[in-house]
Amino acid sequence: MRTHVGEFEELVLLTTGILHPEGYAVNIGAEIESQTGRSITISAVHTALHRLEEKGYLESYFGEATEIRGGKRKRLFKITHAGVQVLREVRELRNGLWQQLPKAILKGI
Amino acid sequence: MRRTPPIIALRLLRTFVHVHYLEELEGDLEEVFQSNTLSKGLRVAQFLYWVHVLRAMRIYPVKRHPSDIMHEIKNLLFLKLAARSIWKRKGTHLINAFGVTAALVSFMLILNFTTYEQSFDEFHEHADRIARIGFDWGEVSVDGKNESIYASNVPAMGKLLVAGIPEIETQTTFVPVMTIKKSCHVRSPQTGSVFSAEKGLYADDQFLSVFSFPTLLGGGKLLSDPYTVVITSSFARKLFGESAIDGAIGRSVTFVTDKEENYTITAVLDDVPSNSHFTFDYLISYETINSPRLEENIYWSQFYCYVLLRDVSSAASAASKLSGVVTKVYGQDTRVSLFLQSLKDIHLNSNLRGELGTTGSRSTVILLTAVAYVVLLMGWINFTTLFLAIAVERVREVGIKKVLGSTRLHLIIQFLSEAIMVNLLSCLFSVLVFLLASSYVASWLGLPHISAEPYANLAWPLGVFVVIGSLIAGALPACILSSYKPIKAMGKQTLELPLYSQLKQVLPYFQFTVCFAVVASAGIMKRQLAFMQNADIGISTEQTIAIKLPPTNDDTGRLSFEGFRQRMRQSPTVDHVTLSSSIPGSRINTSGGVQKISGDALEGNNVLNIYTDENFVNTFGLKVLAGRNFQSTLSDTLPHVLLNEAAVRVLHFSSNEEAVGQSILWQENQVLVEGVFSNYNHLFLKEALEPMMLTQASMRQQFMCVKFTNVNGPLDDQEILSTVKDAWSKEMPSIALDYDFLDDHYGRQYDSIRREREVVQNFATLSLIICTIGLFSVSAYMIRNRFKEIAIRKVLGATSENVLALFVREKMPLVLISSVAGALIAYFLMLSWLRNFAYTIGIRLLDFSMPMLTLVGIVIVSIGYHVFNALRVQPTNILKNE
Repeated sequence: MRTHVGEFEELVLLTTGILHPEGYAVNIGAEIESQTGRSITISAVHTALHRLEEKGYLESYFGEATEIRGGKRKRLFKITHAGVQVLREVRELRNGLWQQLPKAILKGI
Repeated sequence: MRRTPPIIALRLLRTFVHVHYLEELEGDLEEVFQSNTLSKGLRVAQFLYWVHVLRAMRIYPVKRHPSDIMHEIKNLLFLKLAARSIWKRKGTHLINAFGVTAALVSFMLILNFTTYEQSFDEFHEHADRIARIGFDWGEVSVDGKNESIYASNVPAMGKLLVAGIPEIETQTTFVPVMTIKKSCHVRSPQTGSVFSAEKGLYADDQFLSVFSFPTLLGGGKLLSDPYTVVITSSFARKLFGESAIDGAIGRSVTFVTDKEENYTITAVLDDVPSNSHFTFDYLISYETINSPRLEENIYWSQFYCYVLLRDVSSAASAASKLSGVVTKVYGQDTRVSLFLQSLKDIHLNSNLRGELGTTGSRSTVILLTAVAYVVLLMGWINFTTLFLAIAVERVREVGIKKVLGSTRLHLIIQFLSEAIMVNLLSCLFSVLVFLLASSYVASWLGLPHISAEPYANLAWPLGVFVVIGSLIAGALPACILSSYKPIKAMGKQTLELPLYSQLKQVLPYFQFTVCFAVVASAGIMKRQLAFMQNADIGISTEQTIAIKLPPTNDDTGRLSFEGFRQRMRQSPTVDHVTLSSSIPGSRINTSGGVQKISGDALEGNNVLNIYTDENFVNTFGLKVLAGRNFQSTLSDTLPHVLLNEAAVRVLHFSSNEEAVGQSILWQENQVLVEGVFSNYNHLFLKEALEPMMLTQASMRQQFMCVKFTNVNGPLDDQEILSTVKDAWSKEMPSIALDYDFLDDHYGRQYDSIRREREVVQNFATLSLIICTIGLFSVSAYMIRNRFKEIAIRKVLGATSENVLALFVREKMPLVLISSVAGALIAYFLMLSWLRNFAYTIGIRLLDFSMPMLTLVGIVIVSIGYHVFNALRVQPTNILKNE
């Protein structure tokens, strides 16, 4: 089963990997914001995480509770084997496409 | 410093976001909010929190699998759980459902009947505007009773009212045919023979515009010409056969009264609905009997006057003007008065002299409605106590559920859905019973069979029952149980909560009290009825047949009648034949005041009179106490009379002998007292014995009574009937024989009381059944909780009887207290019931011992079964578990 992964979802997936094993919605959002300079809303991150989990690229478990969270536990996310696989596929697809770009275009720009 | 996020937004989040995602989401949003507060300020952070909450709500509640949603719905209704729980206790629930079904079916049937009784005359288009004008002569007897209040009125009144009271739009005057004629028969156009047709009215041309009796055939100006008649469709079928109704208009029909007359049929009406307070087979135009003299008659108060008011609200102002009309007609100082009765009130609220049919009784309707609700209440109580009893067993289930995360709401919903399921089941049962056996159950309950709209009122009591019944029965245990702290609930085997145990104690008292009161009342009613039926009424009615005599308008008729009388007299099995104007068991219609010829005027001197012949005394087995019976030759000077002992006392004679040979005045005519006969109860024992006299008369009377011999043992009814029919068909073959056995006729007076008794008796049975079922199912749980106790007692040497006695003794306060309460209720109810009777039994202490024994019996039966079940188990099997 091959499922499409959108651009934002790819970002979230990658960031979750970077933050492993501490990634959860808030710090994932903050990391993307600082890495890309885009403004990210927490709801968008929630949606993406939720979808990725449904697709099987992420799995989640409850982390510890902190005071700043009002005593609520975090849902920590971990990238699955399928998640790594799909990232690799996306990169290979990109690399393949890059290889086929004519040199002239790259130079011209 | 920590800030709290907007509380309303937080609530919103908690309400709408699925619990599965709530914790992380709440934490994330809180974290973002806190960092936003630091970096962007409180206001912005609060605003952003709101935005996030709203967006989160968009994502999470809908992001679920469809199967999850179905699962949620199932869980929400707890149907599966409820079904399992009910199935686990199917025996108990089945018995309980049976009790509830019995209550529900009776409730619906009774309600159906009371609604029918209340629906009388509502079918008239102008029902709200129609009123009857009654007539009160204002004659008060010595004991203060006014028995001269008539439902009917005088013939002249209708027109006077329309002229004198502007609120009255129009009026209709009518009179039953049997008031004008002694008898009425119709000659069948098919066979030529005559049959009795007494249900007719002489009605004027306004009758059909005031009342709404739809015409099937014919029309135009009806009932305005003399010798025209309007008939109902069933009467038309009787006359012309099934198919020939269409040709009925314009045909003529022959009525045989004191003479034979032909009437032209001008219309055919629908049959009169059964919920009308009067009924008729045909209407003859009033013009047929009208005359200037009749139109001016202001004394003959046996005509009926109904008025149509201009609008609904004018009844009061019309009523206030009635006295003005009265004084104009009868003068200033008359005692006569008129009164106005709304049409829809007549059936239930009016019981005057000369009512047009048997009226219903408001008190019966109220009584039955009360019975219906009490029965329903008893059903509900059963239901609730049972659920409470079961709940005890489920304390641990509740504890575990709570530990596993059930909220209070979940538990309440679960218990409620169980109650609703059992209720629905009972409703289903009762609808089935109602549809299949409503007429049977109705007759068992002693209700008259109702053909009109039997199912009209089925839906709402059922709906109300399901809703209220489930709420009460389910909500109580649900609220009590769900409030329990898990740790407490799991630790204990049973729970004792003040409210709960009080309720469990109190509810049965109500049922037992009702049971006792009803059973005691039924017993007293039975004794009163038996007393009346077995009492010596001073007259013999056995082996006697009463024949209603047809009209004779000509000499041949007279001859054939005499022939019949001769044949009866000469028949070897006949003892006596008498003619009379009234027969025992029917009200005597002629009465008048008596006076001694000289002396003061007497008060309360009304004496009933029967016109009869010299055989009356012998036919009915009366004794002549003084003087002698009538002689067979009629005296040509003064009419001869026999007085009964009561009449002798009314006349203040010192002894029976003193009255003999005296001349007295009756209705201001002089009569000669020939003898005194023994008192007898002309009517059944509900009525007091009245002063009576017999007047010897030569004219033909309405009834012939034939007493058959008892020498060779009693004859059976068939033998008697064939003798009479033989003679009748030889002499008067063209006239239908109208007869009644006198003992049946007399006994029919008891019908209404017997029916009353039956209703109460069946209500008693019903409440006993419900009560037994209730106690039976509840004590099952009570005893299950005490299995160990029973086992230990058994080990220590208690016998089965000891254990049973122990449990029965525990219920004794219940029996005793409810008995006292029930006895009080029954005593006062029955005291007021017995007040209707002239001759009564007294209420004895013994009347209350039977119901008490019954209650003890209920306790023993319903507890005993479970106790013996518990005793049969080996004590080791129970005790080894600990």
